[in-house]
Amino acid sequence: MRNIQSKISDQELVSLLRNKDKKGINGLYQNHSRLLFGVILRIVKKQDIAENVMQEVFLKIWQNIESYNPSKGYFLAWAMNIARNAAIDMVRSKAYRKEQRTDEVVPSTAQQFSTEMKVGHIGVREVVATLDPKYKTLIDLLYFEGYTQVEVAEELDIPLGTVKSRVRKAFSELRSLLK
Amino acid sequence: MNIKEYISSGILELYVLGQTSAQESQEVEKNAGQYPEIADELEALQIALLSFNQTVAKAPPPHLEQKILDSIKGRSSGQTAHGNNSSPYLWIGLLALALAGMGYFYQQNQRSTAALASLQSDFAKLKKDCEAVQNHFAKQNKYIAVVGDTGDRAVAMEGQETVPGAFGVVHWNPKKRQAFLEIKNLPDPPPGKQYQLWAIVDGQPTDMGVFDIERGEMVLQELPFIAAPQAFAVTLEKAGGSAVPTLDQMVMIGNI
Repeated sequence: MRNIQSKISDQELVSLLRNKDKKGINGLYQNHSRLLFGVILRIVKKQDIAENVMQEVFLKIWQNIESYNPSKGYFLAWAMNIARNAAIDMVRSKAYRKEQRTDEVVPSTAQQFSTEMKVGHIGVREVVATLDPKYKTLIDLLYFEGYTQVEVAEELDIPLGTVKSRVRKAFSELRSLLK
Repeated sequence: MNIKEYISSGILELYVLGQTSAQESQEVEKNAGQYPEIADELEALQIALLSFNQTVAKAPPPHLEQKILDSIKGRSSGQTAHGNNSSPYLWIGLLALALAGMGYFYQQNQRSTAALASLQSDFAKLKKDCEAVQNHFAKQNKYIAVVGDTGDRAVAMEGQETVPGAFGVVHWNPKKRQAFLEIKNLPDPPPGKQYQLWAIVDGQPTDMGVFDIERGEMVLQELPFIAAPQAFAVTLEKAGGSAVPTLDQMVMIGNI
């Protein structure tokens, strides 16, 4: 089904959501569920929890669409931010931590990576895979693991002032790879 | 603000990674809204991070979409009550509004029509008044042209005992070879009768024609020009006039 349906643009999607039209939710799901779910899963690391967070994220987007405006950049970036924050909040919750202790081992990023290779976005994935590991780790820690800059400085044993400049370097590397 | 410096400060990267405080985030958004260069940079960084995130993209289980839709349906029932769920009251309200609107416009139209009719009648009246004034002035100008002409010789004819108070003037102009008759206070002739004007030339009456009385100010009736008259006279004759004047029916006479 998905392939024969023409994708709606994010702009249309936003106006549907603003009008409280559920086609906006359908469109958001069609266009971006893989990316949103993937990021949530990467952060919370457990399928069932990721599903709950995903549900929460869609509801937040539905309820808070008014707070999105173009000065925040791309709609997807905004939605992604909601997903990331919700997932980080989940990871930091007591209930999550308690469960973590008794639960199974989480699948590694490498495992997810290999299964996803079959599906798509191979071009971008391959390109990102060539990013210098020290930059990749930096983004992983800050974005997926929810580390603060101070924590990153401790973890990587670099001065706090260097974190910011290395982040900038990481992005400029990434951007030049993606060109 | 130095935009280049701001962009290279690294604050935008931290914003994109969700590492800025609420206050810092607001500032970034404000600046992006204000400076297109900053907005462009921000979007480029967002694309970079979204591309980075593609490495972890994963399809959610198939049942999740329906679950999400159900949860939104459950939560948002209050919101859709006055949205998509069109209540009959809404339609009745809209219909009433439409009818009221039609009634209003009908009334407005009626008023406009009445106003237009009134204006049209006012206009017709003014047009008539204006024409009357124009005619009046045309007549006045003509009168002044006649009586004010240097060649004009006004021959006054005094009314006889039968028509007290009546008088006439013949404006005889030998220079322009024109003559006009002006009559004042002459009663209408009896039925079957008409007034007739005569010029006395060499002691003999010469027919100048019958005339009807035109009431009003500065009314002139053009007469045939006659050279060297000694006097003018008006007699009451049978309708159509007589060949010779009926002298005992003389109503006014004036000598030059």
